[in-house]
Amino acid sequence: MTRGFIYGSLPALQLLVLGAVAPLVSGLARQIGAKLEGRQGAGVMQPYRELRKLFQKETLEPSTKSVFFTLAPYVLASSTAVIAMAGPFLATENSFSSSSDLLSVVGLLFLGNIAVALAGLDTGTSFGGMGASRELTVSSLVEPTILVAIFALSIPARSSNLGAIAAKSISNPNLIFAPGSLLALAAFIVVVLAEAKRFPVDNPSTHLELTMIHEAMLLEYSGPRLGVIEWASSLRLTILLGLVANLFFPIGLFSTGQSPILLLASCLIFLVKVLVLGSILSFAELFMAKLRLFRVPELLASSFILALLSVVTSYFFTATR
Amino acid sequence: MSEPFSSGLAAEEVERSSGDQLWYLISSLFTVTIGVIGIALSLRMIFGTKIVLSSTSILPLAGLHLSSDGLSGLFDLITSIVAITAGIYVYPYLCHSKSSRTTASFIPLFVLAMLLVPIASTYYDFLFFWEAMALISAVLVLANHTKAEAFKAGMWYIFMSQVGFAMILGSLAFLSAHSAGGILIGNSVTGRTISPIAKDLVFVFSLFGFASKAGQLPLHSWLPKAHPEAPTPVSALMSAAMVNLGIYGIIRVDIKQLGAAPIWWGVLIVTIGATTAVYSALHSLVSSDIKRLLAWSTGENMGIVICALGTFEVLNSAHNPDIAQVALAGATLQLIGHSLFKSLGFISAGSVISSAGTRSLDNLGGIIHRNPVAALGFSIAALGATGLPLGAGFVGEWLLLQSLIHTLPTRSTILNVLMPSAVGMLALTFGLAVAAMTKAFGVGMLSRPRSQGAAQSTKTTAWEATTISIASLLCVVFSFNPAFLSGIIKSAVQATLGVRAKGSVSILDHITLRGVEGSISPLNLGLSVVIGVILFASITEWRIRKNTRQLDVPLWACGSNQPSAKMQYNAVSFAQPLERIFNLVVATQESLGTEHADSDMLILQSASYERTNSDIFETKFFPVVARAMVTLSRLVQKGHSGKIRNYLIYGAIGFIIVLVVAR
Repeated sequence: MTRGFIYGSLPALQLLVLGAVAPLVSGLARQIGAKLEGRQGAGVMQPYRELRKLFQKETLEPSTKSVFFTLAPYVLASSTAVIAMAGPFLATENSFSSSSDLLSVVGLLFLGNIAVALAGLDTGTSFGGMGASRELTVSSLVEPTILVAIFALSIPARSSNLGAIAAKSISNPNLIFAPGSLLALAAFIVVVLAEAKRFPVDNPSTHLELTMIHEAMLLEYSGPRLGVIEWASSLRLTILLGLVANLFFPIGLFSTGQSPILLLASCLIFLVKVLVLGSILSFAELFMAKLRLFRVPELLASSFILALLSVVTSYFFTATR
Repeated sequence: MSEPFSSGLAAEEVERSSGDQLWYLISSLFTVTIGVIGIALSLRMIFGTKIVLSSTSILPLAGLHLSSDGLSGLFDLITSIVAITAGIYVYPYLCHSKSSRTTASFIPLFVLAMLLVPIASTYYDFLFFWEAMALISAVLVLANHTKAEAFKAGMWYIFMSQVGFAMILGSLAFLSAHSAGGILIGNSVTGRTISPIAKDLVFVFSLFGFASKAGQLPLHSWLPKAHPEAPTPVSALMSAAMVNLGIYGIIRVDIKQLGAAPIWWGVLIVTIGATTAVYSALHSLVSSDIKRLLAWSTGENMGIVICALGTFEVLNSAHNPDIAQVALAGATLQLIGHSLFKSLGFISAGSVISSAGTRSLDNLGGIIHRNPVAALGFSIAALGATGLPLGAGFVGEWLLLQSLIHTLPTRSTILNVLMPSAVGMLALTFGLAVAAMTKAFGVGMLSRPRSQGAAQSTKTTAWEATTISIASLLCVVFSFNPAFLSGIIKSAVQATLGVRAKGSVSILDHITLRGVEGSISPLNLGLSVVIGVILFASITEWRIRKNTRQLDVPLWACGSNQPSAKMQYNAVSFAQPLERIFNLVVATQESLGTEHADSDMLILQSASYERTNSDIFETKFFPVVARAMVTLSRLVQKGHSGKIRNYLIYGAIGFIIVLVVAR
């Protein structure tokens, strides 16, 4: 009874936990960055305050918008929320797991990017178009890399379901330290940086339109809609860090049949993992400069090659075993 | 003097056009009727009843022989569905473009020829209908032959389809001679009596011939030329139905008829498919012509289908029939999905083009405000073409990916290198296709109008809107719940594999693979995203209305005045960063011309910018072939001295050779 209930309600719980923690992750990353640069920082709770502010603010609607501009933030939020519900974040398996397939997760991430890119094009400003063009340039190289890198993990696991991959790695830790997985990890980290719109690909705190990628598409947004986008963006960061954590270090994942107390423990472990990764991220960013736009593809191409190599290695190593 | 003359002409024009309208209506009705009958018959073919028709008198020489199995049924079903949607669209299109009566009367014939190809039961009939289809479509591509571009495209099409036909003719004639009674359907033992080398040659030639019809490298370049220049309903028919028959040919002849295959056959098929997919996706990305972009996307999707077929062939040769079925089901679903979203794409693009008067994305924009039905239809088609969840292309790609994952790693080095490369190329195709479709929809349909025509474009007519709605509905139903097709796919897969196969893919509300782990539910996935959007939207929009809201705020332009429409990103600038990365393949040539007002070249008077992309196969590979042909024909020329005694000697030698061979 409890077992079925937990299995059934896990998706909602995952969404709740991830959605609530997401602003904290980006707040922590920002705060650590500020401290390292010798600034005071606004505190880890700042993103929550910003969200509250945005939800109370007035909305300015550009004259040239269409229904795609209105709906884009919700498509972004909804596609991200579906990943948060389905993915292996707290438990390896839940009632919604069939949607945590590799192709659907990558597809949903891509869907969110496209929704925002279309919104950028919709209003017909120069900056919106510029942001959309750059976003698509980056993500049409990033999404294939994510696909190929996780594909490398799914060959030894013999399933493309992210939960199943994590479960196989728990039962057989050797899979994680296989050369294919390590190459995939290297490739995955690079694309996570790009997908989360962070250094060295994009600068999340820039205020110069010409250097923006993600922010340039959002220039026409204001008020609650901007709030939804900000929340969804931090949720995406959390999801990506969570994927790094649980696909490559799948410790402390709850699996159906364990006692409900352990679910609480797995929540805490997940939180610690994501916050640690977030801190490492902001620490690493201190030593990086943003790349010129036309150097970015070189970085992404090299991570694509790494991912491809990881698949080849997986094939060879799984075959000889 | 000229007054009565001109009015007389006008009267004649009116009379002619009303007569033409009747022709257009009849053409449209015929096409739809053929489609409806086609659906009824093909469903019968799929669910058991074999349709057999034999007559020795209708066609000359060998007579007409029709027969069917699940595979014929599948292809006829797809063609019939496309025929109905495209057929309804024939009437408004022909009225708008004032096409000739020839065009109007050839469209139903074209559909008929396409429906007959998969049910031709002998090699002879197959070749006859194949060539009929090629010739009729050539006439249709040449409908606007007075335009230089269209004429050139038509010539390319005729040339390439005949080269392809020659390859198919050669290999099928050989097969026919070695088969019992020249039977194509329901007989797959031909392979045994042929020597392996001859079999390899037959395979290679027929593969290239059929692949050319599906727009695959290296004989692909007719497709991006002919599809955009053809009348739009014909483009839809060609892109969504005719290219499928190339796939049919590969399945029927190369996979089924030739039987057990060495592993390199599959490798060759995968290579052709994957290379074409990436190459076409790149060209689709840099195209600024909306129909050309869709045409390249057809090549790309057929590449994915062929890649799936190659995976099937490889797995079958490696004795892994369960996973092979998954690849085959993937190919089938991708094929159906592509036909649905591509016909919708062409029809809605056609509606946009006729109301805005331009095909160039650089001159479109703002269609969503002026012609919302067509813009929304196009968005559904574009979502399908991206292969993303909620789109019609998702399930097929998922199944293909599953078959690649579950390809048991073997000790065969070639497979261990081939499969990862195929995965990499498919992943890249996926990324590029998304960028291309975002460009087509975002630049073409959203944003602000970039030309007078786009700004003055109007709503679709009710007739067009109906067509677009029907096609959109089919597309949405397919992408959310492909379950209702499970019987059709099962029957097609069984027909390909022979009777012994037991299904390893079950398509219910979840698509589940038997024997290996893997299941997905497009319905759950789609519904949860949609419900999520509704929830987020209602909460946030309620909040927005509760707070204050300012409508019609000017756009952000760094503090200057309202930015002009020319300041937007257009199709060229949108694709420019990716174009720069892949410049090696898309071969962009740019030229900047400036004119100066003074002799010291200090004051700029005007500047011009020109940019073209070239198909590197056309600029690099074809000239080499052409030069080789010229060299060869020079050699032949030397023998042609014009003296009768020489020709007599040639004749005598030829006769002796024939005697020796035929002895």
